[in-house]
Amino acid sequence: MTNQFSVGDEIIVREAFPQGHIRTPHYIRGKEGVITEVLGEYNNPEELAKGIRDAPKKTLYRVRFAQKTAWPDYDGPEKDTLDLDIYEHWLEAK
Amino acid sequence: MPNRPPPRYHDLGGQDAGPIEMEEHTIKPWVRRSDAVKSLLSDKKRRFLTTDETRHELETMGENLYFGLEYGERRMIALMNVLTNKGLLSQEEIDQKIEEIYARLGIEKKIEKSA
Repeated sequence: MTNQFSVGDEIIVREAFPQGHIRTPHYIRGKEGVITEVLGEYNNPEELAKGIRDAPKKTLYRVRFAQKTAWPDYDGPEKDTLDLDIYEHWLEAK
Repeated sequence: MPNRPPPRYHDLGGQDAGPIEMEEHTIKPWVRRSDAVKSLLSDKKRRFLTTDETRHELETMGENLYFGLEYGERRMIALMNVLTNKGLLSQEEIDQKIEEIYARLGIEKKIEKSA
């Protein structure tokens, strides 16, 4: 399996609101960030939540967001960032 | 951003959380035990359930239960729901066991049957 993204790539988190067990926080959906690490392939928790263990694995990335991007009313320093681990199928190329 | 629904009740990121309780709290023995049972049921040898299945139960049990119960209690309910949904345990078996435990401890209280 090849990774769709590499370190340094700019991405947008999918702005989707499906049912089921979703580990991508609501507040970050639709926000822009940068890949800082490719963490490897893991079972997809959305499938595991249905008791399915043999679904295709998904690449997990560490993505960095500006706090100001995540929280528009953030009043801390501009350079503050937030790192989240997000699965590939929740990311789109910017 | 059109049609952006509010977060579901368990998705708390960004909400005011109030003050942090700084007091040490003890974990009740039954909470430890039920967590151990869950770990054994989902280990590589048994694979009866996944942690994400119990998380999904927590996220669909409704906010009254989710916020009304203590951490260990709602996890116990989630585990029970997963096991009964899979047919590994029946509600009758669980109720019967609870009655047995009440009897053993000499407690009169009967379980309230859910409607």
